[in-house]
Amino acid sequence: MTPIEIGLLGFLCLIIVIFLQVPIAIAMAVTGAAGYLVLTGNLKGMISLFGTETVNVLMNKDFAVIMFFLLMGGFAGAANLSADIYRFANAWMGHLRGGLAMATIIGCGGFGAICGSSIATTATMARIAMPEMERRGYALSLCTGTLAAGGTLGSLVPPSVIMVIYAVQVEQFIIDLFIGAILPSILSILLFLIAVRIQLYLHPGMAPPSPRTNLSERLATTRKAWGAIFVIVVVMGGIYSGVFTVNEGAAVGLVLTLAFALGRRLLTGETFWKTLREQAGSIALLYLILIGANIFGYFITLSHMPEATVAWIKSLGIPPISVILVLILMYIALGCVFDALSGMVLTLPFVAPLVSGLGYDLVWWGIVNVMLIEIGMITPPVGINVFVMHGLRKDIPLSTIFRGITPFLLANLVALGLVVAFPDLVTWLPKALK
Amino acid sequence: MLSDLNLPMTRLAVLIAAIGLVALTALAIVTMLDIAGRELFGVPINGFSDIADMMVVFAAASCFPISLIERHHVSVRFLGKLNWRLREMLDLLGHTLMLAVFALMSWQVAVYALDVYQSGQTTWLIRLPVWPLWFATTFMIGVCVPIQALIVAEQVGRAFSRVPLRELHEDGPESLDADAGLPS
Repeated sequence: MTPIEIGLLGFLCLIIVIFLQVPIAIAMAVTGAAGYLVLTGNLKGMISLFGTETVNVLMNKDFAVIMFFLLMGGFAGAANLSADIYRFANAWMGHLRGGLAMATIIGCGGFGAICGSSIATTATMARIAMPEMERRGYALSLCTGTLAAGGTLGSLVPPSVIMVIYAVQVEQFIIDLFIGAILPSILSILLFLIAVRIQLYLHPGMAPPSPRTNLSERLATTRKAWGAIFVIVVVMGGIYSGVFTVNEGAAVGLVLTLAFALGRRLLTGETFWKTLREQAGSIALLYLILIGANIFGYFITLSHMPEATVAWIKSLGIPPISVILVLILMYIALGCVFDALSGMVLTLPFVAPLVSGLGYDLVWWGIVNVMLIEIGMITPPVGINVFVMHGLRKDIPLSTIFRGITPFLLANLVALGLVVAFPDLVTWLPKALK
Repeated sequence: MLSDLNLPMTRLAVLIAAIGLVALTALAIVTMLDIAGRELFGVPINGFSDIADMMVVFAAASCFPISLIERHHVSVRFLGKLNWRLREMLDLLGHTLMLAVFALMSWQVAVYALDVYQSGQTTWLIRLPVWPLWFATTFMIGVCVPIQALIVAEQVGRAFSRVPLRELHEDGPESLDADAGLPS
């Protein structure tokens, strides 16, 4: 068998095992180990993979950032920093038609700059913004669509857990991804705001106008939001200016959000343990996926399939951009049946060498990948953010939420198209700041 | 969640996670002191990076047992929609494979811990012995094996139940098995 055949067979087996309801991390570990055994016939080596890869992932300092950012997001929620950002955006925009929906999007983007997780952003912002939008008579599809789609900004706005995983897996600097994501994040927020306005232009009844907040109230909410702004400025400012490493910045963020939660007397013993327990589950889940991905990646690398695939595709003489477009379509399709982050992790061993082999920047591809994951999170039938929203409000039918996210899905596709067409949107800022 | 009969295991898992993550939070606080010392007074904490590296391993490993008990997994759950017994049988397959993976992980990490002990490996800067960390890590991953074995035993009961059972995972066709889910 040729390397491509072995690799493809391994990938096919992985898909079958995943569809047999085996947890994705375990499916990757088992298929990777079995593939290694087939390739080498070395049983002892196969068994030792479970030790070496576990030790490698546990000892990887960069992954510590994930733990810090997850705990930081947990404590930021406990400290009500999310509510401050929302009220701040609401005070300045709430009077516009659809202003609450727009404030929610800005709030999601702002909380994403503290939190780093889309699901947490959706869940946190939904508890704050949903009652307010309903009280003002907003259409349910607009409320839920805004929250499910706005929540995806948690992954795109740096810091982002997904970017950390991607950067470590493809050996790029985490900070380059964070900086590269700034312009696409602003672009996505602007397009989401435009999506709200277009919906209201077409269906004005979806969001009745609200009264204008007076200047003193606006200034008061702005003052109250200082905590969230302070955390964002210190953490991201410290990282971008080089005062902290990414690890240190994440640790500082954790301490600051914890201090705010304590200082505001919002962190009881119960909420502290609840936050730790919730984040422990998420941390273990990601570490296990990374161990599984490393074992599977080891097998794929050993099969020489990535190099063979790159050579084969180059020999076909297809324009590189066509390959990129096919990959993008593949990820969109994968996101329809599969957890999008897992999809990224398990395809990286093939795709990263292919993309760099075609001459594309891996930081740019990382941001494209995160945008694809955002799309996967709201694409029917398995968009996870839609289910998070539905989990919080079981009385709202899934069809209403999916109808609500459609304009934002289109906005996401436009943003993706622009980033693919103009890679400088990602690559310019990291280069300019070096 | 495991049934109440396995409350001691749950308590142990919660305790391990709490120790690990409190240690991580303490590490974050000390990191801030280290930055302050370095940036303001030009005096970083001696050997801090050695301790930080060890603490990170400890904190990450401490999360495994509780995640198994709370069944934080990502799985694609289309086939199981066809029939409840098929769903439970497939879950049994998944849990059994997970047991096998954790058994291999704990065995091989134990082998690594023993190697580290025998070679007298220490940290770079302040020459702390590394073996206690890896023995603790082996213990934390090792605890996952009986926990997962109990989950498999419970799943056997579900798979061979005489009456149809409700889905344990009802978040969607592709399930995040606990409310926190995958932090993407």
